[in-house]
Amino acid sequence: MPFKDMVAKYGSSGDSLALEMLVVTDGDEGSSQTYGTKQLKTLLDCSIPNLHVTIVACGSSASGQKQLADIASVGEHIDVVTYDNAADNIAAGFAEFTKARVSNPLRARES
Amino acid sequence: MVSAVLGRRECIVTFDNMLNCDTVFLAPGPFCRCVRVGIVEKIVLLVQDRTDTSSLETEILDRSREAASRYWNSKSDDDLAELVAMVCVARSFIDATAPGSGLLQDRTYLFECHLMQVYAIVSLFVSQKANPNTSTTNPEYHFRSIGTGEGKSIVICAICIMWSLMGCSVDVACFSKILAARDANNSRPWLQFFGVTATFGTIDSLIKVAPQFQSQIEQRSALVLRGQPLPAMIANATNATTQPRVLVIDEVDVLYSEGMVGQVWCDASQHKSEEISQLFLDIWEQKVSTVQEAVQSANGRAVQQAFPNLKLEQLLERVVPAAEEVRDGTFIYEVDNDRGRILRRSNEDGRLQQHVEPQDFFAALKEASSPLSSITKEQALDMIAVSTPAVAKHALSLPRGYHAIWGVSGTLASQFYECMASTLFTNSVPQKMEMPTSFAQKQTLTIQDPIVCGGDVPELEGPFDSNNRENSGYFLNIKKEIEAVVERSRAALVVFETQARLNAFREYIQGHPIEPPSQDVRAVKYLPPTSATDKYSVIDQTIRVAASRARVTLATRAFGRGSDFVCTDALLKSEGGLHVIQTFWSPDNSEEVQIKGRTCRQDNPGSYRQILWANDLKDIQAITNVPVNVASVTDVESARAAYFNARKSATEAQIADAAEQEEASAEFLQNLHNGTNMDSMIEYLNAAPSVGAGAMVPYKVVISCDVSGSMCGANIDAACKGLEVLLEALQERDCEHDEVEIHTFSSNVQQLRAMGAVSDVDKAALTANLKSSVGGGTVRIVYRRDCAA
Repeated sequence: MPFKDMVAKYGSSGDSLALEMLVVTDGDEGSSQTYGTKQLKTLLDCSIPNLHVTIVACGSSASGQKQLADIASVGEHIDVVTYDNAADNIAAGFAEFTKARVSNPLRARES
Repeated sequence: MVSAVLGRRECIVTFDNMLNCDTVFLAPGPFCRCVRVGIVEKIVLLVQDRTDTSSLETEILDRSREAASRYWNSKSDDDLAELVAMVCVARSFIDATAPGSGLLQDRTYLFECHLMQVYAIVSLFVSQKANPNTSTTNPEYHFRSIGTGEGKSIVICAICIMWSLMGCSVDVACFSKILAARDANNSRPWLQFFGVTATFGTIDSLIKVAPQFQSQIEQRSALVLRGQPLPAMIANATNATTQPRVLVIDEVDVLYSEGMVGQVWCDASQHKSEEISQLFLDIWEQKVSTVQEAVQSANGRAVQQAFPNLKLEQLLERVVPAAEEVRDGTFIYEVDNDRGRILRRSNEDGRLQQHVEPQDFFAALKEASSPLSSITKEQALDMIAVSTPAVAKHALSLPRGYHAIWGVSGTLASQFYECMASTLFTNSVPQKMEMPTSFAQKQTLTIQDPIVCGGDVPELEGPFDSNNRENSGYFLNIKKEIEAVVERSRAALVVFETQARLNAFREYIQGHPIEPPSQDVRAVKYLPPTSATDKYSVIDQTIRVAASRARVTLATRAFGRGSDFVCTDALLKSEGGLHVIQTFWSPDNSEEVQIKGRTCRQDNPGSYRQILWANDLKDIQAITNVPVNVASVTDVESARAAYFNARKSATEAQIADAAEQEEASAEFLQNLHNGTNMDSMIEYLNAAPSVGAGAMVPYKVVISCDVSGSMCGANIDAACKGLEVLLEALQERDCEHDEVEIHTFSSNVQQLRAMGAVSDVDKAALTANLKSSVGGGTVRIVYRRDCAA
C-alpha cells in the first residue's frame, strides 16, 4: 500500500511542491482494493500538500466503469480521464495529463 | 469538570491503571501524588512492570476513538473528559516507551499534558457550542491566551488529534516557516500513534492556491491573452472538502496584527513566447530605444499578433526604463542555474532573493554577456516571461472555508489585537479566555532599566551624549551588556529589529571583540532568517543551546515568538538564567511581552533589558507626535496608543484595499472558470503586467501502473507510449528538482521506491520491464542506477 509511504514522505510539510499522482488502471478486480474510493479518499484526506490524483481509465467492463465513476466523485483533487476505447484512452490520458499538468511554462512565485 | 481538573494537583499513573485515567482528572483517590522533578513540581506517571504494551496501545486507541465518537454526538462533559484523558495517556505512553527515555530506569514518567494544558484543551472544547459542520456559514471563533513557556504546541497537537478522531480535517497556521516545521516534526509521533494527520503550514502557504491550480490559471490566462477560446476547466481552484474543516492558529494575534492585516499574497502567471523574448532582446541591445519604437518594430508587431489582448504599450512603459536602469545600475545578481532563476542581493540585509521584475530579466542578459558568466544568452532569453496577476489572497481570508477557528497565543491582550479585532469581527466575536499558569509560582523575571543610546557606527549615525560621547554608543552598550552577562557565566539573547541591524552588529563585534577573552566566551551564535528553512537543523540546535553558560545568541525579532530557549543548565539557573536584550522599541506591547517570555521559561530565573537607539525613538515620535520616554511605563503605553491611532486609518485603508484586490481576483477566477466576461478578464490581466524571470515549482510525479492480466497487449503498449510522452515533457521542463517514481500494482502493490531525477530514468529498460511485468510482476528497473545495481 503506497499511501502510507506517501503520507510519511510528503505529509505535513507545508512545502511548496506539486505532488502529482497518476494511476493507470481499468478499475477491475484487485485494483479496487488498491485505488478504490475509500483508499483514495483516505489519501486525499491526509495532509499531503498540493496532492492531485489523476486516474487514466482504460478497459470497458461494467464493474470497472462503476468503480471509476465512484472514484470521480471522491473529491475535487481527483480527475478521472476516460475515453471510448481502451488502448487509445491510455495514450490520450497521458497526453492530457502531460498537457494540463506538466507542460506549463515557468511560474512566478512571490519572493 | 474544569474545576475538577484544576483542583487536582497530583496524580500517579501506572501502566496498569492508565486506562482509568479519567479518574486522574475527575476523582480523588489513592492515585494522586505530586513529585518534584528538578525545581518543578510535576505530575508523574509511575510505571509498573508491564511487558505487554501492545495490548495497552490497542486499548488506548479503541477507547479514544469510542470517546471521540460519543463526544461528537453527545457533547457531554464525561465523554470529553474521557477523550482528553485518553489523548494525554497516549502522549505519556509514547514518552514512556520512547527508546532512551532517561526516566525509564526510575520507572517514572512525566505525565503529559500538564494541568494548564488540559484546562486549555477542555475549555476550548466546552466553549464550542456546536460541532463544526460543512454547511455552516458562520463558524465559531474561540481564542485562548496561554502564557509563554506553558506549552502551546502540546495543546495544539492534542486539539488536532481530538478533532481528527471526530472526523474533521485540521490545519494549523503559524506565522513562521521554522516554527511550523518544528511543530509538524514534534507532533508527528503523537499524531501517528492515532493514525491521524494535520497540516502545519504558514499563513501564506495555507492561503495560496495549490500549484496544480496555479498551472491551470496560467494556461487559461495565456489563452485569454492570445484571444483563444477557453476549454472546460479540469477542476475548481478551490479546496473544497466533504469533511468539516477546523483551523487552529498559533500566535493568533499575529494574524490580526498591524503588519498582517493589510497583507496580500499575489501569485502571478508567466507567459513565454519567442516573440516576446526577441522584442526584449531588441530593447536590451538598443535596437529600439523608446516605447513607441518598440511597439511599432517588427518584433513588437509579432507580439501583438500573438497576444492581441495584451496591452503591450502599457507593459513596455515599465520595461524600457528597466533596461536603462540595469545598464547603468549596480544591482548585484547571482544565477541559480538549478532552478532557472536570477537572484538579486538585497540592499537591506545582503541576502539573495528571488524577484520577478523587468530588471531581473535584463540582469540575466547582462550577466550572459560577461565572459565569466555561468549562463548563456539562450538561457537568459528562456527566462523571459510576461507576468500577469493570478490569485490575490488577503491574509485575513485565511479563516474563510473553515467551520471552526481556534487560536492560541501568549499575548491576546495586545492593544493592537483589541483595536484590530473590533474592526474585523463584526458578526462573530471571538470568545477569548486567559488560561491560568502552571508556573510563575514566584516572580522570576528581573526587568532592568532601559538604556537609550546614540549611534556609534557609520550605518547608525545618531545623537551622542556630548558629555559622555565614548560611552553612549548603541552597539557599544549592547556589547558592554553582553560582556557583563558572560562575565557572570550567564547566557545572553540579543534580539534585533531587522537582519540588517543584526548583521551590522556582527560586523561591529568583529572589530570590537567581546571581552573577557574568547576562551571564556563561547562562540557567538547567530540565528539565520526564519525564511531559511534549509537551515532548520542549525536554527533548532542554536535555540537548544542558547540558554547555557557564557553563550551569546543574536536573533531577529521573528525569534521573539514561539522559540523555546529552554534552560536545563542548573549552574546557569543559579547564576540568574538567560538575559534577554531587546534592541528596539516595539510599537505593540504584545511583542515586548513575547520577547520577555524567551527567558524565565517554566519558572526559571532570568532578566530583561531594552537598549535602544535614540533615532528609532525619534522615528516613533515623528509618527505619534508624542515624546517617547522609555523609562516610564505610562509614557510607553501612551506612546503606543498614539502610534496605533496615527496608523489606524492607514491600516484600515490597507484592509479595504486588500479586500478589494481579493474580490477582483475572485471575480477573475470565476470568469476564468466559466469562460465568461472576456473584457473583464482582459482588464484584470492587463492591470499590472510585468516581465521577469520566474522560478519553477518542482514536480514530484508518482506513477502507479496497473499490470493485472487485463492490461496485457495493446493496453500496456499504450501505457508505455503515454509514459514516454510524459517523461519527455518532464525532461523538456529541465527542472533539476523534478522527480518521478514509478511502481506497479495488480492484486498487490509494489512498495513505493525512492524518487529519482527525471533525467535518470532509463526509458527503454522501463518500458521493457513494464511489459514483462503484466500478469502480476513488479518493475525493477526504472533508473539508470537500477541497471548499474
